[in-house]
Parts: sequence; C-alpha cells; structure tokens
Amino acid sequence: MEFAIFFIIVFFYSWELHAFPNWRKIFLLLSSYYFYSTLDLRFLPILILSPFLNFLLGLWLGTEKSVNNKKYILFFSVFCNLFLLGIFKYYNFFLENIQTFLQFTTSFFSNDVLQMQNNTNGFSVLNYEFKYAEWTLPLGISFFTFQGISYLVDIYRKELDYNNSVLDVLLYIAFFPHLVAGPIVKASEFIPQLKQKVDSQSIPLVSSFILICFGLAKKIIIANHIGTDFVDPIFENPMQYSSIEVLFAAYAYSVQIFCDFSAYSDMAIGFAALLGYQFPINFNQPYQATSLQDFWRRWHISLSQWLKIYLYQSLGGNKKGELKTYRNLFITMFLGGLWHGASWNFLIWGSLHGLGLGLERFIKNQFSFTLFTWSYLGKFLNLLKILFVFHFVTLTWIFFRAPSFDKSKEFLITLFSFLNFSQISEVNETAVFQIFNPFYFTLLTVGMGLHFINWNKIFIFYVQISENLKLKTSAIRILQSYPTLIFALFSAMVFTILTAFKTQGVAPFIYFRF
Amino acid sequence: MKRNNLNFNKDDSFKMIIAALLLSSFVNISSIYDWAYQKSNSNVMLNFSTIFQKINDWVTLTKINQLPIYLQSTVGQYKEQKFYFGSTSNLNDKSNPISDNRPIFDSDSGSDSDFDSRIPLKVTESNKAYILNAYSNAYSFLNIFLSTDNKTDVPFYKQNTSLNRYPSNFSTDKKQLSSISNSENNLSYLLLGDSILKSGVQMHLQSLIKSKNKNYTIDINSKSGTGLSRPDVYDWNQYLLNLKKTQNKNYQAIYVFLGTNDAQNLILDKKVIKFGTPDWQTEYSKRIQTFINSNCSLSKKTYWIGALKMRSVDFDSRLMVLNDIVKSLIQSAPQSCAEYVDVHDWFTQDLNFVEHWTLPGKDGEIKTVKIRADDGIHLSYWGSLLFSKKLIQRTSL
Repeated sequence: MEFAIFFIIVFFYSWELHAFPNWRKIFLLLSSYYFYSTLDLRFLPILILSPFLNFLLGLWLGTEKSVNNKKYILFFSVFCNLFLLGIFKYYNFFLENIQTFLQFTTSFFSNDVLQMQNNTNGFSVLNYEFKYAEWTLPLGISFFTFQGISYLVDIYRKELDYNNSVLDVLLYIAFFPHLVAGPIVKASEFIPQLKQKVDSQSIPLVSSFILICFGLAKKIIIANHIGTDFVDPIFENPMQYSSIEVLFAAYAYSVQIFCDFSAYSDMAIGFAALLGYQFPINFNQPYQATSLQDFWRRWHISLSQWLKIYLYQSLGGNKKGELKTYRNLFITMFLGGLWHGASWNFLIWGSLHGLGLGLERFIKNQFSFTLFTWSYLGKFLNLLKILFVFHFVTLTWIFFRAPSFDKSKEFLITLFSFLNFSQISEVNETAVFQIFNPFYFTLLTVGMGLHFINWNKIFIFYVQISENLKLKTSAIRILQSYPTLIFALFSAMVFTILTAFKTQGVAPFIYFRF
Repeated sequence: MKRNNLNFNKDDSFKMIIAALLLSSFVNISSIYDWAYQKSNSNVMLNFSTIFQKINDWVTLTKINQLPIYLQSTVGQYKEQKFYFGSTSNLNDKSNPISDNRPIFDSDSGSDSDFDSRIPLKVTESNKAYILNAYSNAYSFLNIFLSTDNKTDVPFYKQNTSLNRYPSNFSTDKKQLSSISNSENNLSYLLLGDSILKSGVQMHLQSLIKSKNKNYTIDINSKSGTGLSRPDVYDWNQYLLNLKKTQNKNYQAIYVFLGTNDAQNLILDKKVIKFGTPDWQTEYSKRIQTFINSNCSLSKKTYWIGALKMRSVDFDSRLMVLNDIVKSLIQSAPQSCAEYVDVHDWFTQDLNFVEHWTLPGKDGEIKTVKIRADDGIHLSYWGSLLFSKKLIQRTSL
C-alpha cells in the first residue's frame, strides 16, 4: 500500500517534469534514494558513493589512451566493486572456512603450533584476532555492484561512451524499479534511454498494468502460499514428512522461486515502462527448456547474460579449446552460485549447474550424430528433454533453498526414502500428506501451467488488435470509450482477488536476500 | 478520451490510476483498515486508522464488504480441504494415519457451521441454510446480494441464526464440571483458535502432544480471521454446540487461541458497539462466558491462551484490554474448568516486543532465530515451535 502511494506520487511528478529532462532525472534519482532509505537508511551512502566512484573510474578508463593501462584500470575498478561486495557478503563466509580449515589442521598438529583459540565472536591465531563481522548485507548490493561493473566493462569495450553525465550514471544504478532485485540491465542498454526525451503522450498504461497485476498475482496467490505454508515447514524439517510430500515440496519450490522472482521482474518492467523506460525480459518460460544451456537462456536472463558477457567471455569462452571451455563453464557457474549467497549450498548449486553444462556439451559433441538419427521422435523426445532438465533443475534447487547443507542432506534422504513408502506410517508415523492439500496442488498446477501458455503470441495478438482498428473487439472498443471506468473496475476486481488470497505472514521476495 | 491504441497520455493515465486506487480501496476497505491499523504506531497513522475504522464500520453493515468477505472465506475454505484416500468412513478412524482428526459433522437439520464442503448436508427449504461451497454458491451469492430483502448478516451463513444472537439453550450461569473419565492411554485434546494457532502453533502442538504418547488424539479447528466478536464470520459457539451434539466427546483438555481478532467493534441488532465501552465489555464478557461453559461441558480442562505481545503499541494495548476481561472472568470462577494462561510477556525483552530470539546451539554457539512474522502479529516457524514447547511445559502436559 505504501509503495502504491509512493509510486503514484513519483508517476505524477516525473511526468509533469517530462519537458525538463534533467530535473526529471534528479527527481527520479531522489525518489530512488528515498525508496532505498525506507528499506534501510544506513546503507544509502553506499548507494550514492558506489555509483559515483564508478562514474569517476569510468571517466578515467575512457580518457586513458594506453591499452595496457586501460586493462589495469579496469582490473582495479572491478576489484573495487567486488571488494565492496566481498566485504559485506563474503567476509564471514571466508573467515568461517578459514577457521574450519585451521581447526581441521590442529587435529593433526598440536594446537601450540598454531596457537589457535576459538571464541563465539571469532578466533585468534598466533595472537592475531579474527572477529566475525555483525553487519547486515545492504539490500540489492549484488545487483548494483554488477551494474557498476557492467558500466565499466562497457566503456572498456567501447560499447558505451565514457562521457556520460553523473546524473545518468547515478540514476542507471539507483533506479528504484530494479534496484533491489534486478533485472540487471546493461549500461549500454539503459544509459542511452536516459539520454533520450520520454514520450508523455504514449504511456503504455494498460500493458504495464497487466504486467504488474500478473506479477502481483504470481507473488501473492502462488508464491506466498506455497512458500509460507508448504515449502518453508518442509524444508525446515524434512524428516518429519513423508517422501511423497517432500517430493511435492521440491516441485513446489521450483514453482515458488519462478513465480516469486519472475513476479518481481514483471513488476519492475511494468513500473519502469510506466515511467517511460524499457527493461529487457528476464524470464522466458524457463521450465520449457530442452537443455541446461537453453534453461540459462530463459532463466534470470539478465544475470546469465551478465555472467556470459562479463565473466565467461572474459575467461575465453569457448574459443580456447574444449578443456578450457569446460573449465570456463564451471568457473562461471561456480561464481554465479557464489553471487547468490555466501554458503556452501549455493556453491554446490552453482557447481552442479557448471558440471551439468559441461557434461551436456560433452554429450552433444560426442553423440550429436546419434541424436540426429533419433530426431524423428520429435515432440516425444522434446518432452523427455524438458522433463529431464526440469528434474535436474529441481534437484539443484534443493541446495539453493535448504537453510544448510545438513538440511539439504536430510531433504534428499527423506525424498529417496520412497522405497519404504509402504511402511512409512510405521517407520516415522507421519501421514502421507500432513500439509499438502488440493489448494496447494492447484497452485502448483497453475504455476507450472504458466510455462505452457505462449504469452508472446498473446501479446503480439493484443498489439495487432490495438493498432489495427479493423480488428477491434468490443472489449477493446469499450475500453477505449470509457477507459477510466473500465480501468478502475478492473483494478478493483484484481485488488479484491489479490486481497482474498493474501497470507498471514508475507514471504519477502526471494531475491531481496541478494 | 478516445484513443487509437491502448496507450494514454500522462494526464489521462494519472486520472485512471487515481480512479483505480480509490475504487479498489473502497471495495476493500477492511484490508485498508487492517493495513492502517498495523501501522498505527505514529500519530498520523493513528488518525488515518480511526477514519478508516469509521468507514469500515459503515461498510461492514452494507453489501459492499460482502464480496471481499465471500472471496476470502471461499479461499480459506478451499485452503482447508484435505486429500482423502479411501472411503469417508475412515475419516474418524484415529488409527488411520491419513485422517486429519478434525471433527466431522453430519447434520440432519442442514444447519452446520463447519466449512468442509465434502460433507453432504441436507438443505431444507424451511431453514434456508446456506452452505459454504466454493464451487456452487456463486449463483446463490449473487441472488442474495442483489435481492432487496437482504439483512445485514452475511448471506452465506445460516439465516436462521440472526447476527450476534446465541442459542437460548446456552445459559450464562456458571456450570459445574461434569465428571469425565478417560482411559489414560487414549486421551483426546482439542485445539481451537484463529490464525495464531493455524500459522504454525497447531502443527508443533500436535507433534509435541503426540510425542508424549502416540495414542493421544488431537482434534484441531483453526479458522483465520475469526473470534468471538464476529460470529458472522465464524460462529464458535455454534461450532461447540454442534460438536457436543454430534460427537459427544470428552476431551482431556481444550486449548483456546482466540482474541487476536476481537479487538474491534461488535455488531448487535444492526448497531455498532464501540470497542472498549462498557456495553462492549458486557457483551463480550457474555460471549466469553458462554464459550467457556461450552468448553467445560466438553472437557476436563480448558486453557484460554491470552494474546501475545504485538509490535503495534496501539493494537497491543487493545489486546491487553481483552486479556484483562478474560483473565478476570476466569479467575472469578475458580471452580470452573477454565484456566487463563498469560503469554503476553513470553519471548519479550524487558517486556518489549522482539522479533528475534537467541538459542543455544551446538558447542556453546549462539543461534539467532526469527520468532515473529513480518506483520508483527503472528509467530514464525521457530516462534511457533518455541511457544508450543513452553506452553506444553506451562500446562504440565
């Protein structure tokens, strides 16, 4: 509700200022800072200083003539961004692992050798104290750091002019629709939009509103219920449930994470469009993928593109031989997992995808002739591939979601205890379904069904309808004749339905954690 | 405002957005009121919530609020349905691990306050009982909604029970405990409550009680958004009446988790009785007493669990009023089976609301867990677990 009021005010004043582009951008920037400060005021200085530093580094990078120096400046700039991210996100993780490693080594050597002492706040080695940090992770730091790196690398590769106004750079990074959970928009795609004047006569109100409502519906109706009432209890204590229920929880999490994250992306795209800016789509029916490579072209497209362009290709991509390609794939996905969180679970998740991509490439290279021979099976083969990829991804989501490695182990043990299914009520005295019921089954089905509706075709049809008067339906005609009334009635209906589905405890957007 | 396409200029767009916001807010005024109420820590929001409360009271008595209530109840009802395997005769079979152990009603008269749509209830023309059914009641709802003789009670509840009246066979005199005997090994417990119970406590209480003795049975009836203030939403006294009539069960103990939704005005004879006024206190006390009497006729012991500490200072002070009423009622009748369990200061720090709690972990490490949901009202998964454990200890189960 607060966000609705905030956005209406921003919408009104930003369009009132459309004739004064710089003032408009200042207003949007201040609104974005206000938005961020309501989430966490403490880290607002980081949001201001980090893009400003990137702006200065971009200028330095652009004005430097020597190619070698440019490279060093780029490394330094990227290091500065990653250092900021690392300090907040990975400091404790690395310390924990160092402590674990040292504890492991003292089991072989006497403690006197290392003079290691553990305490609840850290540990000390050779009289040097390492303390765990207690600071909170700034919201969205993973996203705006990556956008800063995108800005610098695009300047280095001459895809973007270095001579940008500081206002454009600050707004590019801090723009509130995509600030805390993406999509990660490339600098070379967004900064040129900021330089152009916005068209106040043609605001895509209906399409943006539909996108926002769709996102809200996915979040409130599907993701929240599945997450808070079904997935969370089972992942917290998987051994209390039957293997069938745990299996459904795994499927449910696949649906939840898709609905949750794509909901946020849809809303970000919708809100940006209402303010006159275009974001790229971030999800393209990912569970319809027929291969892992295809999956990563459909899931979190902005992140996978970022990893491909700025990491995979920087490592050499597939241009340096097969072995190095597999290495690059693994490193990219490994670091992609690390980006999601400072935990071994995320590293395992990323590694599994890296290994999967490598294995897939290997099989394609080795057996492409055989596959071609079988291609006449057509749709059936496609379906098998889709099912296989979906189940592989669902399996890896277990590590992504489980609160710890131990819990992911428990989850897998319970999941594969289906062999004892007939004895389950005697073995652990749990009912087959303690939580799972027709309601969640319906949500699961609807959530998965969203993947099999071709929204692009529907959207193209809508565009044709709206542009060609001869094809106008009566609904479109009524909307054009009484737009305010129809729009208000539609909004009231949508809001009422969404309110009917609201849960007691609201699950925050999953990617807010990053 | 005719356009060639579905894009609009800034002025038209703004008008449309404002119109949409106003109409959506008006149709869903209850939700707006809830939102404003939860934010009522500041004076500005307190004033807003007072305004919304006045509008909400008016809208509650009109048809406008019925559509959101109907939809919310429909969703709530569908959410509570379970998968059942085999015949329905297994449903009360406590040895069947698939059974969810909830009381099942099979009423000849057609009057029933349970929401389970699987039950084949006979609807007779004479009492015009309307059964909540997510799939087939839409036409009935529209019919009543558009009819001219609609009373203020929400259409999909039994029309033979007028709003806020209780069956006359329930007296308000304090009843003596009935002597109830149970086999020690097959004790039954009943958990009744609102979303505080539903959103985690029931699951943990159930497993904790079962861990004492796997032969214990636990019946649960939890309905979000309900209480004793609004029987038009869910009639708890009628539920107990039916339970006594159809099951005639003797519980070892009943745990009651009601009150969190009761810090609101009452509706009596189409009039609104303001929260906290002497009339309100009298009427609410009457309802508590009736409810406790019903519980005592069904169980050896009734534990009324008071309201938790809330984040919103205003909401918390209202709930303390409720807590005081219930506490003094119960304590003034020591011979009654009821016992008030004061949990208001549980999991607080210096009597202040906290969202996190520290637990001892392995090897002396400290683990911090979130015990309250983001709304500052409900318990999180960990909160429910810790709360349930403490409750079991406190009630010496």
